[in-house]
Amino acid sequence: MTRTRTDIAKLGGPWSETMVWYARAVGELRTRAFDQPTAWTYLAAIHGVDFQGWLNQNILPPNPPIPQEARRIFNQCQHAGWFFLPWHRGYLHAFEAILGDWIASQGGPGDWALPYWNYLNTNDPNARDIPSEFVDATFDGGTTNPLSQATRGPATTLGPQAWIPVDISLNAQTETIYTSDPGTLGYGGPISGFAQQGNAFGGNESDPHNLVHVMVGGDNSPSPQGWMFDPNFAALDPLFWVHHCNIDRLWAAWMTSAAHSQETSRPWRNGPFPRQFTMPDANGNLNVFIPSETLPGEALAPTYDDLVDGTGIPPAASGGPAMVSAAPPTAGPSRLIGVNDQSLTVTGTQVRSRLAMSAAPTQTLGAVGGQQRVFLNVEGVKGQSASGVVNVTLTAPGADPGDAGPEATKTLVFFGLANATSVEGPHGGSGLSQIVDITEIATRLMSDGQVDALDAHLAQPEGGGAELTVDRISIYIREEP
Amino acid sequence: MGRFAAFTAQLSSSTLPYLFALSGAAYLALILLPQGGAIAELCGTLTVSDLGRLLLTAPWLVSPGQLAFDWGVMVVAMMTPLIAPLLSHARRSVTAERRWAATIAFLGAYWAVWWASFLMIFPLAIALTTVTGDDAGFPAALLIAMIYSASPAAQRARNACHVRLRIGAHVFQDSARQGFFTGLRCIAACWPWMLVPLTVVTGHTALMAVIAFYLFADRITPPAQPGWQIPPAFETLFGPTAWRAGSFGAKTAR
Ligand SMILES: [Cu+2]
Repeated sequence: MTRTRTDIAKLGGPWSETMVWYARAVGELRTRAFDQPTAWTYLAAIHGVDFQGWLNQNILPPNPPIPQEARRIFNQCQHAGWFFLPWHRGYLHAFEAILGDWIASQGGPGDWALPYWNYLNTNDPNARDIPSEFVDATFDGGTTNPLSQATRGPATTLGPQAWIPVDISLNAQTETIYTSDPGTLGYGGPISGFAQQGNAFGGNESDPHNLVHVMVGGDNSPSPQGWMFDPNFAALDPLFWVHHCNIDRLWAAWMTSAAHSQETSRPWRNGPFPRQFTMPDANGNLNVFIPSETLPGEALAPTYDDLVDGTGIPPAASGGPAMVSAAPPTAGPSRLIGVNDQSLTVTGTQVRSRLAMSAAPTQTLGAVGGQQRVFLNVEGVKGQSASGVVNVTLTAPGADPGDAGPEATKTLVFFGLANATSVEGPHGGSGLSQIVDITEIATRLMSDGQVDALDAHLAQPEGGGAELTVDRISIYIREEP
Repeated sequence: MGRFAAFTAQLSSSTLPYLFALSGAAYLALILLPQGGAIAELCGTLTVSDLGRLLLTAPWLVSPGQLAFDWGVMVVAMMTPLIAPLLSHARRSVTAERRWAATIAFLGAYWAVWWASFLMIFPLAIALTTVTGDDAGFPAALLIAMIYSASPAAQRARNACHVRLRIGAHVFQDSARQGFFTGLRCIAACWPWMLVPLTVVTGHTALMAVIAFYLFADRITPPAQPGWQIPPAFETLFGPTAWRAGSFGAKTAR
């Protein structure tokens, strides 16, 4: 039996058979107690759980039964690193198998597969709207619809808003290398593991993944944010799963291109240690999986109806991606060429930070635009909000950022900020880092003449939320192959 | 096999092989140096409480230089493999030309803090063996270390061991600062384990190696919410079934 995952918009809905069974299954799993490995809350807690927050929002009943394996199985989600894609692939596989098992037992299709939300499909004018099945109050002739039982922000469609002035895109799909060298952007994120800590987002994870989370989940400030805004609530929203299914499909599509290099080094293939990826099966047994099992042809590799529409990847010629190992992790061909003078606090009011560009800046930056790409790093960002948004405008030193065109501003989104800030939790306290391509901006600034410094102007849009701190701002360049 | 493969793959990455080489060289020095190492020798002939008495009554018989030197070698041997992610952070955050400066500053500061911990740990060892008597010193130190490893305080310190600091334009100072604070947090996480080898009379170097191995297993566990738990090193060594008990869940503001 092959489960073939299909675009929600192509299922002939609203309320195609696939979606009706999804809703019924979500309703069933929500009746199961927290200590059951096939319960809705248990499955969501595998991603992340804010236990007190769940109690406060009555997501859990008072004094719920706690599974004895809680510490091993909960709070596993791998974000900001090269395990983001394989971990979530294994997670979706377990989720789909558990739902599919119950659906088959109820007389539903034996090959039921998780559908996906194809929000970047330009052939579909309504692609960016939250699919109506997740909004309807009832389904099945009057039953309460479990798919709309979730706390969300006010947005009903994906796109820029005043508090998050940036759009989702398929830019990541053109990154050619899975694992990024330090300070640069790759498709899948930087190396992470017990000898290396990454904590910077890869291309796919940054955009569209993080953006969709935050656009759907915010902005209800100061009342509770939508679940999708916070990794410790996100997987409680049925929309999470069809979003991640599309993220996973983008990776599957990316891997069909012979121009792309998928990571296959031993530390990636074998996964982290000592805490290994663990998922329940439909019988409630816990099984370990490793990233190599998620690669094409392996046990956890999914099947999609289509890998072209809305993926930015042309139909596969033949051969598939090159499977390669990352360059030596500590060096790599990337180079640091600029670093700011001090750590800073970012609120709704613009704050300036000066970056000193290292020796021979005209040489290093003069070549920009040809063989080199330039990356801005905003590093060690911490804050008490579950997620955060920061606008960064780059100018020549002393220039008025008001005079800079809109193309001089990049909007950075930090999904899971509070998690990465807390030293009391499983994600460490070093904050998050965001890396963006600024080749065009840098080229333009350099063309004005010799520059041995740059100014970065930072602010949270629309007056912003809780204050953020930024450890460091830096600029790296990388020679392109 | 899966666990072992993941472990060896991680071991081979980043600066870890070099850090193990440094550590191994220090062990060799302890074993091969003519005196056999002052701490090792003194532990072979004198108990720590003897030494404490000696320090109080006839300090001229004790060579502080030799003690300090040997403690330093011991620190390099035991503590060097623990800091790969943060050393990588410092090295990654600077230009290629400053990578050695960052490495030297980081390691120097880290070792220096650990070296200075002698002033706290050695009196503690003397106090402990004085209270327990020489025969009970070892089990007592082991018990203290185990209980501490299971405590929320140790988990808090372990979490702090993973925290990266800003490495800016002042490469040397900033890397040294990262090494210094990593060292302090590392001491907070490991200190009772350093009492243990000071309480035995024979097999000192072997015991050091065993404890260093335990501390490595402890350090590579990911951060977690502080709470009473089975010491996380056991999960590393024996698999997830040893890791059942304990609290969970991140407490975060929303
Ligand atoms: Cu996600």
